[in-house]
Amino acid sequence: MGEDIILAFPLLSIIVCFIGAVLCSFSKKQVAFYISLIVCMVVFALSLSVLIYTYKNDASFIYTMGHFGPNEDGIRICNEIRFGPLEGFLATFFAFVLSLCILGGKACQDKDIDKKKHNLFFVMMCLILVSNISLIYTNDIFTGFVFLELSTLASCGCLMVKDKGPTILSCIRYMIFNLVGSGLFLLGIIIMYNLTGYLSIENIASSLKNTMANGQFTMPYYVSFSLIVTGLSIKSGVFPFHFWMPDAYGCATSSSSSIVSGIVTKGYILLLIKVICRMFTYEVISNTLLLNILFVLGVLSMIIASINAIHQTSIDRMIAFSSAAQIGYIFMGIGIGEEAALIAAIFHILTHAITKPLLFISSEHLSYVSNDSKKFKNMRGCGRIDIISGICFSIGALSMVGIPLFAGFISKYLFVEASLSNTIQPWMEILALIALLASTLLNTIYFLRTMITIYLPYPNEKKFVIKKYPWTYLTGVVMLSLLNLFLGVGSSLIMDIIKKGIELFY
Amino acid sequence: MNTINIFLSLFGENAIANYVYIVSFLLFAIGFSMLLFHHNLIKKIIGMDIMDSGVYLFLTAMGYYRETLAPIGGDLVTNDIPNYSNPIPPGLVLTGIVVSVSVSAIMLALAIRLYKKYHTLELDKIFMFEKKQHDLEK
Amino acid sequence: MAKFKKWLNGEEDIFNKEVAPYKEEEICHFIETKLNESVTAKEKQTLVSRVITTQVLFYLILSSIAFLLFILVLVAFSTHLSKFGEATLTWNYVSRYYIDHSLADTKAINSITGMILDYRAFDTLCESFVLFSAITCVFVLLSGLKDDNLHENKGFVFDKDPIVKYATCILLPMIFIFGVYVVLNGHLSPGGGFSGGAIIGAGLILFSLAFGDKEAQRFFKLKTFKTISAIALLGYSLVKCYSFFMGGMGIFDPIHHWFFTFADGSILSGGYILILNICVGAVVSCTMYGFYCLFKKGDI
Repeated sequence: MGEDIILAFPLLSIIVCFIGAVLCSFSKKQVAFYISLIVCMVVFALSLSVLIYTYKNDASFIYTMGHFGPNEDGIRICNEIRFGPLEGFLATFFAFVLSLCILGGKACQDKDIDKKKHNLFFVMMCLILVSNISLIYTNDIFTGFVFLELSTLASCGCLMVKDKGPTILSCIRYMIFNLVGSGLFLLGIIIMYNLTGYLSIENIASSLKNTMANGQFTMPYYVSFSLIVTGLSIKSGVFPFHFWMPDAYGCATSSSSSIVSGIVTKGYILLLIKVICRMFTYEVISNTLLLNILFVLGVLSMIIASINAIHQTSIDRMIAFSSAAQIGYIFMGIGIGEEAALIAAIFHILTHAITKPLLFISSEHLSYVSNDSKKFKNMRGCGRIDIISGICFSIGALSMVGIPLFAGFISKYLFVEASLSNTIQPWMEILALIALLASTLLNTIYFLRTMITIYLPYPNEKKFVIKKYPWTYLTGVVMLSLLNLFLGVGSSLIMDIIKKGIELFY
Repeated sequence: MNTINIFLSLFGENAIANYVYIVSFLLFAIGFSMLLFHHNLIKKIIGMDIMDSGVYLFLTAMGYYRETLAPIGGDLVTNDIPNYSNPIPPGLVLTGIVVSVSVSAIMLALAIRLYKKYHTLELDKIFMFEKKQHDLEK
Repeated sequence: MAKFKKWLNGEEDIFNKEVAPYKEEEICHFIETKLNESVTAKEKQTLVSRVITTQVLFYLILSSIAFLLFILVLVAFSTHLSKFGEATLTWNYVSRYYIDHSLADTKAINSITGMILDYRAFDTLCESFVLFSAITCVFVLLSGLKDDNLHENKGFVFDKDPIVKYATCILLPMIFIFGVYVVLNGHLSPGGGFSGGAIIGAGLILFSLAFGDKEAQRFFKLKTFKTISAIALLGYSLVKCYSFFMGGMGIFDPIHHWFFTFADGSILSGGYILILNICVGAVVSCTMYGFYCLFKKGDI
């Protein structure tokens, strides 16, 4: 019983988040802030022990949420959660990043959110954390759907908590896109249940293999595959579906936009990876065009979103379009279909989850010293006035471009290495290399342009000295920058964990 | 002749027997078209509701077997030929309905806020005013 | 005919003139005074009639074609599925297990309740929190708004109507008792927390409509709402945490065993299902009434 109690830790981390959400709903603002931070820290500690335990034992475990385990044929009766080193690591990582986002954006939240409703913002944070963790751990597809909906509603809540400006319209657009995505995903799951009779991912996979081998029901299976993948792609924001991003991220407080872009969308992408790797296994999918379509969408997203970002005149919309471009990288990695590309995609998820919050939070603080305006023409020279925000923004921008020593370089290097492997088709290889080169150039154009803007003042500028930084902001951005440098310099341990995790993932 | 053959080969052998599934997808189509083509926000929300109803009808129809009883009553014994109807789809529909209600409530609250600000519910007109405000700030 | 068209488009309400939506001149006036912007002639023209530009036409044609293709594919694939009403792949080990063993394993005579509150209880746990997050979001949006010069929504008012009052006096106790019966008997007959909670919520709404907001405020305030939902959700999470912990680790559960000593068919034999039904019923009824109050007057 002694060491085996670690097997129950994922369940405990989920329940702790639920209890934290309920407690935050009737506490005052300051108490709710500390409760949400404590919840994040507890989940971090529990998931870290899960990671160490599974890494040492080199195995992945299944925990039954109920009294009845699988029978002798492996057919599941109750819900299950499954965790290995990869899932434990991702849960730890997301809990840590969420706490840094809440800390870093506290000053902005105090300005933007009504005092009486501030505690409800922290309720949304706990619910986002629990839905992300459950999407990582779940082994049952209908549980995945219910937590997907919880994630949608909670993220909409945290986007609309800021009451000023055109927030309501951007939230409506966000909700309509997300609900169409969930509806298509639900339809796909129901068709899959009709064709296999199971709701647990492993049972579905074995039933799928048997039926496809017999050649029955081929067209319904293709319809189900495309509905599930389309639903999840709409929610993640790949190329044709990224139009909700600039409005939603531009009009929300910086904590919300960093959390939604850094954590919520990544949960959907991880569910997509799980569905492709474990439910429709690679043997079944390689006969279809599914991975090729994902690859093409990713490449288009990388290029077109970057071109859109160059045309923007305000900093938050530019960062939002850059977010859509980075999601394109991840889809390209999934679409290539090799293990090395999947490792690159997951590493890019980590990089993006650290860098985007850094960019959003520091740009919001930079806008505070330029008359609360986010347009480039008003932000000249603000990096000289607010030194720490300028440095942190530069670290984020250099990481996005891919300068060595920062995290972005390692993920781009992994992508190039994956494209050069000799088992992928030649047209994919050429297209991937061209897209990587083109998007790096485009990223350089708009990010370096921004860095030059914030460091180059108008000739007769009045100087304005910042007296003191709030401790929450300093902790948040400094920790995020240090994480970025750590991933860029000492990433071998993380790569080891990811490699081992992916072997145990299937 | 060839195109008609290709068109007919899309349809399988159970076209008449599966009329319930076809009707549920037509409901889904009606709801989705309301979402796409109407300008009024309330009509879009109603369309989303109808879409969800179509999906739940499909799910419920999947669990129906002819001449079976409801799975309620103690000490039931099942045969290879179904003598009780499938209990899983009603459970999934229950969850789905709750999710659908929550989503409709949030969308309607957003519509109320939007109406209070602009006094109109036509989305294209609201976008026109928003774009105007955005351009003014330039 | 023109009146019918106006009603169809949502521009005029033929039953209640007082809540008709704003006309175009009023919208322009509102935007000019409250939002301090000028409304150009072109925009006024767009307010009155819809201008179809080439961009709009392009979007319409493209989306119609995509939509028709999508629906064609869906209808076509549904003809390939196995026959409606016949035994299919869905009648397999899992569904037969739920029907055969739900009395022995969970003491629930209603195997559907046994499934959603025992075998697949994790989904139901999350679903209650979906409701909770919805009411929180609506609270964030609608509470504490200052009343501007929106039409006072007089609508239909029942406070002074004697027929509604007396009918409610007779019906309301029966509605509440029926709702409580449905909640408690979830494991013995069709019913459960969700349906029972909806019935109780509807009863609360009827009370508020018939007797007015002040009477309803006397016993259902914001504090009541928060207390009931917090206790119910906390209770649900803790009970399920204990149950999943014992079940997943394989430890013998004494409380579950104690519930099994009651005879089949009695209320207490449901085990944890009874407690969970009560929690879910409380949350659902408070949420339904909360939605009604927030939409009507912005505060519970």
